[in-house]
Parts: sequence; C-alpha cells; structure tokens
Amino acid sequence: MSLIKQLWIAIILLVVVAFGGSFIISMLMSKNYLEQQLQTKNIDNATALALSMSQMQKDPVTIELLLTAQFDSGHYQSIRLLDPTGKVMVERQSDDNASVVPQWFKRLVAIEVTPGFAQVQDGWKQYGKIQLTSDTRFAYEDLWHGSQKLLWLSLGISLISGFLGSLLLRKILRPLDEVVKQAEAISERRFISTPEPKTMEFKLVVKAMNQLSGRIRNILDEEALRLEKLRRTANYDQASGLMNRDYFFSRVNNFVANEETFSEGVLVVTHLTGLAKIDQMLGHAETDSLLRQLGNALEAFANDNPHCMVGRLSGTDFAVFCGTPGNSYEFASQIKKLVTKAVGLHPVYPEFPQHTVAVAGKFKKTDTTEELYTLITRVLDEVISGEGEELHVIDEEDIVNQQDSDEEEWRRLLTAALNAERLKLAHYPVLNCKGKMIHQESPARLQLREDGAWLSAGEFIYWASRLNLVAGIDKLMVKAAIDELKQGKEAIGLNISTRAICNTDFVEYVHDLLDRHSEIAGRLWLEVPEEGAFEHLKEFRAFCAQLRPLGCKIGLEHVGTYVSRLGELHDLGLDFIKIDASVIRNIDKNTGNQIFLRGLCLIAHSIGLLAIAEGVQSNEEKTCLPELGIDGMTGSAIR
Amino acid sequence: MMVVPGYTLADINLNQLLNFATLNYGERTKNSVLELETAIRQLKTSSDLQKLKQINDLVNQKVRFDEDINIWDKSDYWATPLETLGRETGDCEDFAIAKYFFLRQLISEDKLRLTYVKALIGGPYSKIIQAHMVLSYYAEPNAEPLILDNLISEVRGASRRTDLSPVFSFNSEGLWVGNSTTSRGNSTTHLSRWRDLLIRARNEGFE
Repeated sequence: MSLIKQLWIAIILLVVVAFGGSFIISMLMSKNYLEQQLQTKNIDNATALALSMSQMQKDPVTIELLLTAQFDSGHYQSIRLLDPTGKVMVERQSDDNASVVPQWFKRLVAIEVTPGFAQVQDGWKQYGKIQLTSDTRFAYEDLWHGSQKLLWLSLGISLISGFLGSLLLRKILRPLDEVVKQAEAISERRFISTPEPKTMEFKLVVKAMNQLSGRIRNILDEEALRLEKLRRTANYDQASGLMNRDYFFSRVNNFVANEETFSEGVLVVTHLTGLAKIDQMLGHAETDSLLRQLGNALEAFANDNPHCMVGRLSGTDFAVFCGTPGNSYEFASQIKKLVTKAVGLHPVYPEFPQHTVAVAGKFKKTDTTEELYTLITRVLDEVISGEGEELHVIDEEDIVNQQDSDEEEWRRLLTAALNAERLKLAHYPVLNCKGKMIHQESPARLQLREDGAWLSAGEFIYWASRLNLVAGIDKLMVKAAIDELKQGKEAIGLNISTRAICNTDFVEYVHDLLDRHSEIAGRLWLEVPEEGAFEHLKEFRAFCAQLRPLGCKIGLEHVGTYVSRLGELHDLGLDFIKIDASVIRNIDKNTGNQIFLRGLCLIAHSIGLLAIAEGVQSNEEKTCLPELGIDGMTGSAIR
Repeated sequence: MMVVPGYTLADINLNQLLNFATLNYGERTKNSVLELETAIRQLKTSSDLQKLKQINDLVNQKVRFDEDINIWDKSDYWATPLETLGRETGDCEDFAIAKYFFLRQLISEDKLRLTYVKALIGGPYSKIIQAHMVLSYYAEPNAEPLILDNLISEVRGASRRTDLSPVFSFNSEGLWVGNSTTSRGNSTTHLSRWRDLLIRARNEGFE
C-alpha cells in the first residue's frame, strides 16, 4: 500500500476516533446533567406540594384539586398521594407518550430518574406522602436534537480537517516525489544529483544518493584519465603530440574503409630537412620543443577542418590526411605554408633554416595508406636528393570526379530523391559473443535518379551537407527504420549525425514518431559519433533527455578518442558504445590496446553500457575480443 | 441491630467518628462520643420510649442553646451532630438534628421526623411566636407523635405541647434510593441544605 494511502487511513482513523469520542462524551455529560436536573426537580416539586398540602384543610376534594392543579400546570409524568401505609389515595399520570424522539434513541440513552418524596402533615398527624415524577420527554428531546446538531457539526469539521489534512500532506510529501525520481534515475544508471530538500529524513536520503552519484562520477573520471594516458602512450608520439605511424595508418585506413563517410581524399606528407642537424647540435630538448610547436600547429589545423587527421610518420615526416574531396594542389600548398610558418616561428629557426618539402597524393577508396605512403616517400626521396620542386602533387588529374559536379544539379537530384522518398536501409548485423543478433546496423542508401544506382552516404553526404539537405535525409532514414520495425524487423541501429542532434526540428520529429509508435521504440538503437556528442554535449544531453523516456536505445559510435571525458556521460543513461575500429585492429597482437580495451570495457560496464567492437575483420580479433570484455561485434568478419 | 422489613437501622462508624472528634475537637468530645456510643449500645434492647428519653436527656445535658449567628458567625447554619457535640452549643435545629441522627441507630427512620413548628415562647400567656424545629416520633403511622426539643426537657405527646403548631415535616427518606445509602446525584453544588448536611454527617461517620 502506498505511503499516501497509509497516511490517509491513519488520519481518517484519528479524526473518527477524536470526533466520535468527543461526541459520545458530550452526550454522556448532557445526559448526566439532565438527569440531575430532573432529580432535583422531582424532590423540590414534591417538597413544595407537600408543604402547601400540609397547610390545607384535609378534605378529599380539596386535596385532589390541589394535586390536579399542580399536575396540570406543570411538566409531570405522575403525581401520587400515598397514605401512611403506602396505599394510593390520589393519582395523576401522563398517558401522552407522543414524541419526535425515536424509541431506539430512548432505549439507548435511558434517562433514569427516581421520584421525589415528601411528607404531608395534618397538624401533628401524618397524613400521607407525595410521590412525584417529572416528565422526561423534554429531556429526551433536548438530547435528541442536541446530538443531531453535534453530529452534523462533527461531520462538517472532520470534512474540513480532512481537506486541510490532504493539502498539508501534499505539501509535506512533495519532496518525496523528487527523492523517488532520483532513486529511479539511479536505478536506470543515470547518476544524477538533486538539491537537498529541507525535510530531514528526505535530506538524508538525497544526500546519500548524491554522494553515490558523485562517487561514481569521480571513479569514472579517474578511470577515464588513466585510460587516456594509456591511449596516449600507446598511440601517440611523445615529442610532437601527434599520432604515431601505426596509429595514423590504422585510423586513416579505417576512415577510408567506411563507405558511409568516405569517397575520396588527399594525403600530404611534409618532410623537414635539417631536423637531424638541430638534433645533433642542440640536443633533444630544443628539437622536442620545435617538434611540439609544429605538432600543435598541425593539430590546430586538423581540429578546424572536418575529417582531417595528422600524424608523425617518422623522425622527419609529418602527414596530413583530409577525408573530403578537394583540390590536392591547393591543399598541399596550404599545408606547406602552415608547416613553414610554424617552424619559422621557433627561435631556433634563424640559425637552422629548414626546408619543407611537401608531396601530396589523391586518396581513393581503393588505396591503403601504406601503399600511398610508400609511393609518396619515393617521390620525397627524389625531391630531397634531387633538390626538385618543394611542392609536388602525385596525381595531376585534379577534378572532383563525382557524377555531376554542378551544385545546382546536385540540389535538383537530392531534392527529387527526398520528395520521392527514394531511400532504403542496408543491413549489417551486430552480434553478441554467443552469435545472437543485437541489432542490424542500417546505413541509408539514396537513389538519386529513378532506376539509378543506390548511393551510400559517403557518396552524397558531402553535397547534402553543403546544400543543407542532411536533415531531410535523416528524417527519411528514421521513418524508414520505424516502418521496417513495424513490419517485424527485430532491431535496427541508425547512425544519427552530429548535425542531426543539433537540429531541434529533427529531434522533435523523431520524438513524435516514437511517441506514436511506442510499441517498437525499444527496438530502435540510435548511435551518435563520439566526436559529435562531446563537441556538442549540451545538444546531445537534450537529445538523450527527449528520446530516452520513449524507450529507444541511445549510444556512441567510433569511441576511442574522447576517453578522458567518459565521466561526463554518467548521468545520461546511455545504453551502448561502439568502439572505433582503430582500437580493434589487430587487437590480438597489440598488447597496449588490449590493456586499453579491457579498461574501457570495465568503465562501460560500470555505468551499464554494452561494449560493441566495430570493424572486426579477422577470426583472431573475433576470438580475442570477448575475453577483453566486449559484449558484441560488427564488421566484415561478422557479415 | 433489629431489621425491620423495608428499613434498616443506620450505623455508626465509630473509628471514623472518634478520629474526627479527636482531630477537630479534642479529648472532651472524644469522651462524649464514647459515652454516646456506650449509651446507644445499651439502649439497643430497650423500649422505644426509653430510647427517646435517654437520648433526649443526653443531648440536652451536653449541649447549651445559642443562636447560629453567635456560634457559627453565619445565620442559619445546620451543624452535624459531631459539630454540635464538639461545640457544645447549638440552636433548635441542631438539637433536633443531633437527636435525629442518634435515634436513627436505635429506631427505624420511618418513625422519625424533623418538623418545622411555630413555637410560643415565654409561657402560656406570652404572645411571642418563633420559628422552631423539633424531632417527632410516630409509634404508628396514624399515631399522635411524641415531641423532643430543647424548650422542654421531657418527652411529651403532641397534644400536651400546646405551645407548638406544626407546619411541615421531613426526614431523609426518598433521598436514598431503595435500600442503598448512596444519594442520587453527586454534585455538591446542587445539594439542598438538608442533603448537604446528610453527606457531611456521613463523612464524619454517621451513616
């Protein structure tokens, strides 16, 4: 039984007892008083009558008259004159029993009064005795009416106090609702904190829960920091702070392999001549500071540009990869200028002039980083040794070789496709470690031309972003997923872009759809890229707050870079993370990443997240991953 | 104790009485009480007339007459028997009341009455009339009563007391329900003077 119900029952009982008790007591006291009054009246009236009779002539007629007169003019039930032996001489009795008071009430109350006695003298002789009983009718009526009035009054007051009681209860128990909400949130793995209420008992509970949330948060933060350090040491070059060679290759390869986001890119490698000399002459410290400065500049550039990655491939080689199609020559010269400037700002520069050599190569889907890098290095060597052009682009053919380069053409095609809803979902299974399906990852495919080819996101996303049509595509995608779920698909995972979560219109659209089809909401898995979620944390929070209550599952994909900030997710109640393929790649051989991955899975499980591995390609990876704590896998080896 | 059907004789709680007497009035009163008690015990087997005479004499000897205003500083205060004995003074009501309480131990109550009378004071030729109270004894319900008071020291029949004309009689019958000795009603604020007296006497030890 609920607390409110119990409190109500207690209040009602108390009120009933209080008023019932006072009612009964009041009744009894009234009865007592009336009885006393009647008793006194009996005695006094008898005495008065006997006194006057004693003074009179004792002829029977006069006696009877006197008695009758007294009887008729007063409120009596009976008056009797008894002779000294007890025989009745004169008697008057009231036969009228009519009364508004019901019999049951009379029986219940039962006013008991004894008759009054008094002696009548005739000179010195005893003449007789008066026995007088007053009418109790008026007493009963008094009690009857009085008790009715009292009953109504009691009812009225108890109703009012009941009403007031309910208001008071509500006010007192309001903080209880907040407490319950927080407790429920914690049970859903959303470790939120709420302000402490004033009521002492609630304050203690809320304080304890807040402490729990706080501790979880702290643990998460600490673990995340530790993990980040691990990651850094394993994958980053100490001196420059950029990705090391293996990691860079892995990341770029991974990015390229993702056909949803990549169709064409550029790889630029810059070589610093004279770096070795600085190292020789001035030692590690100066070299490192130069490298650090360069690293910072390149990193800043990468952060400012979408799909850009920077790494240090060797002692002297720095690579910049751009994942969006563009003019290789322009890009390469941009990088060269950047590097020259960064190096030039260093105090060492004037004494040790550097030459920057940049070689750029176009990156197609079919290329691997290693292959392209080998090609580029060959050219680099030529350039360095031969003192050739310090800027060289490998592929001269530099057109944006999309099907249609015209922006207008793209706009027309995309809008037509959206209006005709020529969008379908592809399906790639995500399985748990026992082989059972968790969900189908379902990227969108758009058919630009009627009866034309179905393009993957990587092929149209660049233009869609430029023309601000991504929102429309996102909406179509969600609608298609819900339709498929309604038709009976088990579970579907959708990639929601960063742009989409920042679009309030889109979020509301999804909210309405899910609200209307609430029965399938639990089978919809929405994933947001890690980078997008952390860069726009406020919008992501709002996204989660709006959609999670409807029952769908929310998680992050491509997780691996923002590990230090994992603690910030502790109160969102996410359901899963998908770990970036760059961490998964060759996990069976990479012990550094194994330690990292194990720690990451532990943290994820502690806040109730499923840990799913992306891009699983080999059987070795497949067998190694479950032992590290991975709950599910997807990738070419899982198809 | 003789038991008459329908009536029981009243009783004395001797210890209570003695305590009260010693506490409030001293040795002399205590002795008086003892004397009284002895007398009553001895009179148990005597005739009614003997009882009347003895008690009448006892009280008349022990108590001196005076007005209430002088004794109690209140006009018209009805003293309990013990109070009268203790003070050794009383007015006409106090005499009558004391004799009434004492005789109740020996004679059934329905034979005893306290009677309001008009009294001629100062001899057969006097014209002074005063309010007075006497104790009347009825051997039979229809009989002429015997009168006990403080004006004349001997017990006389009513016809021989030409100085008195009766007005009204009462006793404690009817104020006790059935045979119980508890009075109906317990609020002292509602008591008539007579009932108040009865209760005070009872508290001292006279049932």
